[in-house]
Amino acid sequence: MATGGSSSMTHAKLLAAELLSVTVHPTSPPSFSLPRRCPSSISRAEILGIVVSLEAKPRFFKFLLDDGTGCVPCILWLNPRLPPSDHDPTPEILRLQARRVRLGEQLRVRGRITVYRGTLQITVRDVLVEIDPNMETFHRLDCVRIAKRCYGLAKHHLG
Amino acid sequence: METLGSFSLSDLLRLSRPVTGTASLNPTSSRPLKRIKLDQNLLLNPNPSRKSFTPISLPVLLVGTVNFFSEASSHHTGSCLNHCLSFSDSSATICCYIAGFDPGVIGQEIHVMAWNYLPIKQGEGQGVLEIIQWRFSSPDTAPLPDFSLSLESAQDSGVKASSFAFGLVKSVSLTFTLPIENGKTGEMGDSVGFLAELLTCMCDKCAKMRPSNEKSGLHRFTESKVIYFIKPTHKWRPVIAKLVGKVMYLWGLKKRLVVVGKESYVMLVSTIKTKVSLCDSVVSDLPTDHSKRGAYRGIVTGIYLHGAVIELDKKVWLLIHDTLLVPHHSLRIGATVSVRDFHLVHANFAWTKVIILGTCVMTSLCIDSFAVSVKKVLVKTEEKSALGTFLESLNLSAKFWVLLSVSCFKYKFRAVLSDKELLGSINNAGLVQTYSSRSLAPDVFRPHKSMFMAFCNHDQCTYSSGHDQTKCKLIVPLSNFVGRCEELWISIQSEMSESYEVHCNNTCDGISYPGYRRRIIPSDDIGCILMGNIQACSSSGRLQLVDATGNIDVVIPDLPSDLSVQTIYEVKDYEVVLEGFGIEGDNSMYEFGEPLSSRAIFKRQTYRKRIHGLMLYVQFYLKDSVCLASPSRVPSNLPHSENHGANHLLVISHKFPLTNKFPFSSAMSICSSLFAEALIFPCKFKRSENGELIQLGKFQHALDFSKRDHKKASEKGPWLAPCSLASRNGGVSATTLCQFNVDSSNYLVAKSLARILLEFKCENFFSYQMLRIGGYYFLNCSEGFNPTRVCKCWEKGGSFVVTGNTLQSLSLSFSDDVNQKEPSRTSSDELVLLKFLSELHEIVDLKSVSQGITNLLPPSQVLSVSSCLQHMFHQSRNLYGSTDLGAQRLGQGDLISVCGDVEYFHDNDCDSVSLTASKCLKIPNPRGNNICIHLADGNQMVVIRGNLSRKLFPIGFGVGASATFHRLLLTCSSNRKEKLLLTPVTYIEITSVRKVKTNGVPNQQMFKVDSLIESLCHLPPLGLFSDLHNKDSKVTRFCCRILTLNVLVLESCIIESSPAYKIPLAGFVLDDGSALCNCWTDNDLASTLLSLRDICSSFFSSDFSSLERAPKRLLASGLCHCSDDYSNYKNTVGYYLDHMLKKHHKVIVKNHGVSLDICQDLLFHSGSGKVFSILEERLLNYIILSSCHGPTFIATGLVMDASATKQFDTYSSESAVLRGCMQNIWIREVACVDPLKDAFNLILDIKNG
Repeated sequence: MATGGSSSMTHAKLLAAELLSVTVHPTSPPSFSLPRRCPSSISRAEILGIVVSLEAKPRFFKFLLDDGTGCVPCILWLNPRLPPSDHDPTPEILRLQARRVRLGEQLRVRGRITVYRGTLQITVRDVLVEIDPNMETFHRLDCVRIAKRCYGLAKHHLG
Repeated sequence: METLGSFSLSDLLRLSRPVTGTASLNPTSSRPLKRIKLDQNLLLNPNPSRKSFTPISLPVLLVGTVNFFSEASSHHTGSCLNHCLSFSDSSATICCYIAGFDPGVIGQEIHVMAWNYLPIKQGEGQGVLEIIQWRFSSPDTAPLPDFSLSLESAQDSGVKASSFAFGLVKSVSLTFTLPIENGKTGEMGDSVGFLAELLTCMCDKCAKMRPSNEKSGLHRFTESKVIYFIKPTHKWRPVIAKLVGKVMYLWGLKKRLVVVGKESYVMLVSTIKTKVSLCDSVVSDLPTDHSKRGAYRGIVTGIYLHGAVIELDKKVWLLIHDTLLVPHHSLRIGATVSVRDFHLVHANFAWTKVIILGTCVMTSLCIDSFAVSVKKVLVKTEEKSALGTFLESLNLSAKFWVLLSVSCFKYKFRAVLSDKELLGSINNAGLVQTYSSRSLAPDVFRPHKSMFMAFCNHDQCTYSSGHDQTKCKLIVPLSNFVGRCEELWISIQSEMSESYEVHCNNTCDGISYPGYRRRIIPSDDIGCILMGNIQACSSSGRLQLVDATGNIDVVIPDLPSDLSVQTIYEVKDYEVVLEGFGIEGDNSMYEFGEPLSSRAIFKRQTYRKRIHGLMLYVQFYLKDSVCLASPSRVPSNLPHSENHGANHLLVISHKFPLTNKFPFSSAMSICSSLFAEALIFPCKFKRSENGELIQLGKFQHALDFSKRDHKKASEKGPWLAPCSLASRNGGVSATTLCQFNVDSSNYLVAKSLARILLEFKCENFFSYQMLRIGGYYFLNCSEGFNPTRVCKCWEKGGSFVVTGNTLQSLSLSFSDDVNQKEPSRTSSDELVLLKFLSELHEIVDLKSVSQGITNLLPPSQVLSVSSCLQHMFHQSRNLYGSTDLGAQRLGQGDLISVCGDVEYFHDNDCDSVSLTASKCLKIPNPRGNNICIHLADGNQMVVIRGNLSRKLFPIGFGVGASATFHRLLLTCSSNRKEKLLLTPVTYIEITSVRKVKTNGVPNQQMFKVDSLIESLCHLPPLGLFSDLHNKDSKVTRFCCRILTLNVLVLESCIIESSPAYKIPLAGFVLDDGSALCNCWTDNDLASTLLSLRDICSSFFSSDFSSLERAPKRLLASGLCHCSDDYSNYKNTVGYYLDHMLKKHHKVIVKNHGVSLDICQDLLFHSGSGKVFSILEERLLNYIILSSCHGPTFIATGLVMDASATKQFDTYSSESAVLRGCMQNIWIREVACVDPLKDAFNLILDIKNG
């Protein structure tokens, strides 16, 4: 079994449909679990898809990422959580990431799973443009591989 | 009342020019006639060109009688006999052809109201009168109600001829000659005649009674009956042929048995008592079941191949089986013709679709209206040649293809092959026939039938109608082919602009470059066969396929060294490559007029390359092509030694590419040369005169002598040594003249190989193209064979101007098998040198020879990209003496040869910010364009940079080309970054070209991967961090990303090096989607994971508004030296780290944060105890944050046990301790993800797992 300490910080590679079907537990903050997975509890995810909708605001970029199995709402905050200092280039890096978010672009997004007004979304940690269209296939297969391995583990534990 | 002019035919003949005249537009108007004399003054334009009919200025008419030609007429030609009537007045008789023929005109005097006169032969008083409108000369003479033809003089003879026929004329054959036996005397004679097919009625009245004055019109004409009109009634053919579709009576026929070959037919044959009359009262249409052999009326738009092919209305092709079928005099472009009873074939050739109207023995053709043009097309009726007989044996579509091929062959090879060689003679087949018979499928041949048999048994006609799928390809004239390719290119442009296709914009190091378009079209899609000689262009030096019409550049990967320029090659399997940037402006300005249409081929339209910027070439393998016509000369297998009989042995060490000075205009080509470098062996060859092996007397003497006193031996001068040469024609002996020196150990060693320059003038560019780097050749020596004198050719810096046969390819064999007579290679012009080195081994020390000669051979090894990377990896550790190309013009390093696939190339230099800037500012570079070539093999990629003008690209160079780069400079920049540079002498050899993916993404390496990665084909499956605790300790690959940094240790280097820092340890937290893992690494891999070489441009770019002052501030803070020429390294983060570490000596960065999302909790320790400036902290933060947002990569690593991780305890941060329950791995390799190959790997993993 994977180490419990790191599992909550792992960005689970998921398809949109899988992510949108996670069970939300009404804790504070809410926690999430995937059925028949081991570890079942997740807090972060990595998805790959095409930007199909974009709302650009001075403080945040809100966009929908479509990977063919569903659309995942994502939010990229442009202001750092802590006030920036002179030696911290975080604001510039966030702005650079925001520039990558363009309609039609194939993006790989990592972030925390959050709930906003009852809807699941990803609060984006980083954004990466994937130029090669084959990367989509690779990501899907990787999701299947990991799910299969983890599911196998869960079954073993149940059994 | 105005009078009408009338003149005699003799006046017309005397005028001897095309003339047209008319009396009145109203044929019934009657005006008095006045005899006039026709001369030049009466013409509207007395000095007109002879290209059109000259009108007569007065209303004129001709008066004369229309009749059949008498047998004694000297004007008779085969065509006249079939089509023409005579028109005569008291002064002369000429051919005439009447549009709107009325049989009643025969024997009557008529007034010709509108006519054309066309002289047939100048000065011979022959011509043809084309009668457009006429009337009987006496207004009272009405057309005879019952037209009849008979031989009046013979009606009272005693011949018994009681048979008759009544029916609808269906078809009439051409006149023909048949050998026939005289029934009475038994003698053989020729019978001239023609056949007419009548459809007769089987009703009782017709069968039993003589159907005179038949008025009923209730006949059903269904039964076919053939009437044989023999001499003297054969002259009726022009009239009978025009009665097709009409009902006629025939009396005075005789039923006879006609024997033709082995077959006999009972038929009605004409006699001298035969009489023909029309039955106008009975009207019937020809049966509809013959509609598939229908009727067509159209305007003649082209007559080709002496009347064998006629184009009608620019859309259908009339294929004439016998040129006698067409009225020769009046068949001109612009005439309207009617064709009846032809075979309609829709032929689908590989390159086009054609509608063919194929004529046969049943077909009739007549001119309905005459052409205005007087330009005659020579319609030949020759004796049947072998080609004609061959054509008769083919079905219609194959016949059309062969006729097209005739046109193409004549057009393409008119300069090198005679008509006889191409078309053959009466008995011998020419090139066209032998080629066609080899190319055509067996099912296109049809059994041969004589005309008689074909007419009588026409229901079994072997010509078929309908759709014909044929795989025949066009032997395209290269000019038309170029036109077609340009046409395709325009259509590709249009398609792309219509579909809004995004151009293939590529990026290199984040900079986007406009892509170009390449289309590779396989030969099957074009449906053409290429044929021609392979030559080198005298102006561009490029290899081309050439015919008389044009040329096209070629890429031939398997080009042999003994290719003959005189050989004609047939290339069926090839690929056309079209490439270039999009055409600006309106595509519609390019009109090509269908270069591959049959019309263009027959008409021999020429096309010139019109689209500038389109690179057009063809690539094919010679092994897939066929040698059609070999040159007649016998290939010489001996070195050409015209006067002196001496030859040098040399090996080509390099070919120099085209230079910028090279003119691209044929007018200037004579001043230009191409060069190759060769190493010349220290020996000379001479053929023995009698072809026998020279006795070893002198050699033996030398051998003994050398053993005794080497010094004396060397003073003795050059040595004669025998050797033998083997060729396909048997062994040839020769003598070598070897030069030796004495080395320090008193051994005889061969003199070193001298370097010479071979110069190729424009007439010998082909020899340059044939040269192969690493190939052995014999070179004619101008000095001859003089054993007492050292040849000047061995002097350093010598040069030769290569002429026609100066060089001869040679296959060098180190074998001492003197019995070997056959060269190992199949090439006929190559020689195999035997027993040469073996003899040398005897005369001098073996070790000396192997070191002295074989080691002097140029390094022929061509590295693959992977080996090159490996080589670069090793070389980068050996610092080159002076390496900073920015500071020093002359680069130092190794010259190497690399082969691989050009994945991508672009004009700008992506490596140098300053150069990119100069490009953006459009600062001209005097040395040519900066070019960056990404060369890859299956796994790896190297970048080659340098200056290369686009004009000098070898044919085929571009994305998708497999190329070998000879003499690239492998050097190292100041930051120890290895580089491959193009030099002015770099020769690029293209081996093949493949398609470019339209959405192609360059195979960029995000990380510099060392070349130790195994072949991706045998990749081990990817592991998961979550499985690590179950795994044995073995190397595993993981697909992961950096989540955050644990610890980073940077130290300055004590030894002066570049970069001046090292990374003793770097610890990262990696995330693969299943779990996290502590990963440790150092130096190069750490630098790769931190992207220290790549992130410079973004850090210092203006993207960061708040950071754009950073360089200035760094400059101000003294971190950076202000220098005019920023080298690449000075713009990297590594450069600033160098300076930072000079201040701090050692920097340790630890992550104390619990949260892994941001690096707010990074702690920086300075080895020197000095305080970090804001910019230094900012830079370190930037490096770490950037690496934590980096891409997915493949890490290969080994699980570390607890004892191994203990050594890092001193560096471990508290947070890392908190995460201590995670597994630890040591990273050995890092590679970027190849999504396609890794996806395949995953599929296997999922399937098996």
